[in-house]
Amino acid sequence: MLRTISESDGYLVRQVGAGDQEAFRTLYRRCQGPVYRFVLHMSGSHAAAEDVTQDVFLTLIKDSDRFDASRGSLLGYLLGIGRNVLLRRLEKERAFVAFPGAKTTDGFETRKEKEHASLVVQAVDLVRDETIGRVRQAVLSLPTYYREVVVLCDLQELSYEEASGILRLPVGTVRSRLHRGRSLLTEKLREFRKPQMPVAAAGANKAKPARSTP
Amino acid sequence: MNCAEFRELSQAIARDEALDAATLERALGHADSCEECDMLLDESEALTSELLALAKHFAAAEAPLHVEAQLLAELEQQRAPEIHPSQRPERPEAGIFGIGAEIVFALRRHFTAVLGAVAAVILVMALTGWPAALWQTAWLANLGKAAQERSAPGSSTGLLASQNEDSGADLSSDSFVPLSGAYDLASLSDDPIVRVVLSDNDLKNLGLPVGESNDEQIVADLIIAHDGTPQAIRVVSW
Repeated sequence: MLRTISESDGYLVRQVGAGDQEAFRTLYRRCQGPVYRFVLHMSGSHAAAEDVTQDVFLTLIKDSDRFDASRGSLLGYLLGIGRNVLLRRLEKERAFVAFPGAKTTDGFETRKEKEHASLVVQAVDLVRDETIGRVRQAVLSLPTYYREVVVLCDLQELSYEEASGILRLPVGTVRSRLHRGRSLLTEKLREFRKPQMPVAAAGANKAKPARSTP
Repeated sequence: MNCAEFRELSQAIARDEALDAATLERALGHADSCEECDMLLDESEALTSELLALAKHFAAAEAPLHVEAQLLAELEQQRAPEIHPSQRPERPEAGIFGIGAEIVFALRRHFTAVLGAVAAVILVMALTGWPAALWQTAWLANLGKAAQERSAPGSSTGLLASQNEDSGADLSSDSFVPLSGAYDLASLSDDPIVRVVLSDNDLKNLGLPVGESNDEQIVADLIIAHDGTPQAIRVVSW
């Protein structure tokens, strides 16, 4: 994915620093999609994805001179900012503790309930396919440090090296977290597959060809 | 290969990661002989497909259009109030000449604007001859008026005018020559001397003898009385 970003990113970022709107538009259109989707997969919320994407590009506008093209791609840099903004946001939201029985102005019992309802609506609107909905919920239920690796490597198809640059982790740690994250996902989704798998698996096992090459 | 070793590799196999051929062969051989590990590999491969489907499902998800518009407005606003820091000249340290340094800094920062303004003023001056022409015009108007008034018959300064006419006004002299209608020269010793550029016509207006007109200009010093009227002239160069 990062390969689609041309080598002129450094030049365009300098132009953005000088107030060049066309340069900004070019960079924004190249990178906003991956940044938005990263936050969407991480948070499960379009509102959060929108806010964080906006914050990421605001940071680019205000501190364009902080980007160093020799240290990595612009998209990696922006995803790193997005991750930091999102983690701060999640941390902030976690700090709020609702009083028992407290209602929000929208009539929801708690802020969490409201967010859950919002997710459900989004799930109905956007995720028609039940399997995709299940997988999405499973990804969202992963601990953050496993989720971000799964999102970057499996959903955004970045390499271990690219993910390690964004997360500032050794490649080996990225690899082991991905393995652990996927194992957790497999376990979570096993419950969902149970009604289907035995029949399918029973039939499949009998007729299943050997995996190893002859 | 045992089950623990297989579990370590199962996700990598399901993700189609590059494994060496021998390791892959041993892992798949183990899966063939172990139902549990075979099931695990099935689940891992199913997970790969499901994650791919999830990614595809949201592949077109992007920020709403108004975000781009808001960011462009922010960029515009950011640019408007000041030049970007990377383009700004470095601010000097405030020292003994702190105030002077601030002025120099401001001039450096707005160098182009200052240069443009100075160029515009010089251009206007060159085209109009201002302020020299304006200054000269005002003075010459005074000179002519004074000369006329003081040379008029019955004027209180008639004596001086006649003295001037009588003396023939030798402009080649190094000393000041009284002009027509001048006050008592002795009383002018403390009055200011102003250097001016005069044409033949200007000299005529001052009541001075002028030869053939050749459009040349002369530089001269004038003694100016307290009321602003010229009293005496000394030619500096022809």
